[in-house]
Amino acid sequence: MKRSFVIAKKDFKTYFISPIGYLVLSSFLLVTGFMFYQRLLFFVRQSFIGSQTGEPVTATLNDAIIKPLYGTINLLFLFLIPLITMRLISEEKKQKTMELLLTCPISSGQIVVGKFLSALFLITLTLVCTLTYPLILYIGGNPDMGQVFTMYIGLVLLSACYISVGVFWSTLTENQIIAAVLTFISLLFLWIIDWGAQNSSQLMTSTIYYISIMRHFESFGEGMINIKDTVYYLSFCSIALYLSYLGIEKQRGSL
Amino acid sequence: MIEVRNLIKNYGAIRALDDISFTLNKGEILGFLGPNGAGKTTTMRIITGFISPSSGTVKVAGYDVVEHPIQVKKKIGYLPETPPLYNEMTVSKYLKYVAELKDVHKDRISSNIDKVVELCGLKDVKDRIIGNLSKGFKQRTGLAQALINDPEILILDEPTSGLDPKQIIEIRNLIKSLAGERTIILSSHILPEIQMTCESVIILNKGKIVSVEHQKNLSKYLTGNNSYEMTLTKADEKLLRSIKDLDKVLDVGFISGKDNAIYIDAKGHDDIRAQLIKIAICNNYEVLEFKNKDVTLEDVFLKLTTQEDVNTI
Repeated sequence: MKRSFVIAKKDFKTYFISPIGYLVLSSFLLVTGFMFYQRLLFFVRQSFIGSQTGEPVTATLNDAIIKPLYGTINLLFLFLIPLITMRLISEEKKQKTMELLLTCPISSGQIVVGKFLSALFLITLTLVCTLTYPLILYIGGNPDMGQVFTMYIGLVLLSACYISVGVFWSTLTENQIIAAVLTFISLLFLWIIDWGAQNSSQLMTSTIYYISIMRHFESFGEGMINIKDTVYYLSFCSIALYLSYLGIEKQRGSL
Repeated sequence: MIEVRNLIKNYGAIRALDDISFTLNKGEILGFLGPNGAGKTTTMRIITGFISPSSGTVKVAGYDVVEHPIQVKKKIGYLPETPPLYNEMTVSKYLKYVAELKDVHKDRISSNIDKVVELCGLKDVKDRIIGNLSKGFKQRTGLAQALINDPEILILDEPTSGLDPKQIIEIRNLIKSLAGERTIILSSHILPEIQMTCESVIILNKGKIVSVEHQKNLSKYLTGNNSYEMTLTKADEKLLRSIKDLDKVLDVGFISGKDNAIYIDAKGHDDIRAQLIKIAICNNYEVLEFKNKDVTLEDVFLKLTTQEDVNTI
């Protein structure tokens, strides 16, 4: 585990040696900031109209601002995570530095975990930056901070799943673009899979709902930490990372 | 120290290594010699644990590479053919990273870095970005990386390829200075290089061991041969005849493509150079150049492979 952190630390720093780390952070904050501002304006206007006409305002801060905001974050993940995971292992292969990693006293599994953690650290950092928005609401209003908290837990778990898919594709190719495209397609498919649920039999529907990565986020959005959904996310990551490990071992010719 | 038994590696239908076996004792320097695609890199990659063998075993200091990879990797410093460098890092940060990966104790990291920087002559470029360094410095950084955890075994894959002559000499001297308590395997396709640095040599061709030679025996291919080249102001049949009359001369003839140059093959190990020159001068020929015929790797291979054919017949 200690050596995984060595890799994670180095790769996390690499994000900020190249422009990619700054690019991810700034574009992320730009889009979410814009969304937050628009949502806030809308909410303020609604409340103003409500107070003029005497109609009660039914929407809460959480429903009107925070939930849509996290829908946006989720969408951004879909585009940005393939970009931050694509280089993780493909770059090592292309630069022939994989030969260094695999001849150091460190196992393929530790390498995979280290790579996974480096991207997870970057995503967690961007998420920490977005804490500004609920903080602003907290200063000026009275949002449900418990729900905000569970949403962040959910988002970290969700992004971990996305990253693990990215790590997996990155182990299979030297080409970063291919890794990014395959990651994006896989994530998109996991997103839209429950659209197919309506047209299927009972059993298929429940299976698809179980597989669908977004369904499992719902409880976190409602302010709950559901064991079932947490287990789903954790096992999703473990399977994807295990497959990445198998990918590396296969290329070493040991399988 | 290193024990390789019946090593086979297949890449799909291609057999890259075919039944390679050898042992190497502590403190020895072994050279792999062979043309491209002979299996030098593959053998090294298996010993270092980068790839797995299809069958056969490799034991390093008593540990099996497949069963105890971590133990084995701790003992080995490896410089691949392309030095594994991160172009965006500085030399010292890179070395620190590798030291951490190789589990060098925290207190020893900075002293180890200083040591290898000194040893590999990287002092002036320590804080420069690796991507901006010249090929020679990159190669040295690669070597420094292999030495960072003070390994008992060094495996160097074509450590001098792509360097200029001055750098080649420096790297060779460096390797020589590292010998002693360390066990070293290095590969090359340059015969004199292997001869200069290694105590024993394994010649590989098409995935098989063609020959295992001690350094002294190897020198027969280089200097002990009795083939000479003579360039004169004028060469004709008359001179050839008089040379051929010497009883040790096996064959003599013109070298195609060169004017007034002849080759002489002689048998036995007696030196007939003096006689040859005397004959030329006594017959009023002027000798411009006289030398032992250059032995190329191709010649050695030809010799070894044809010898083998004769044996099998």
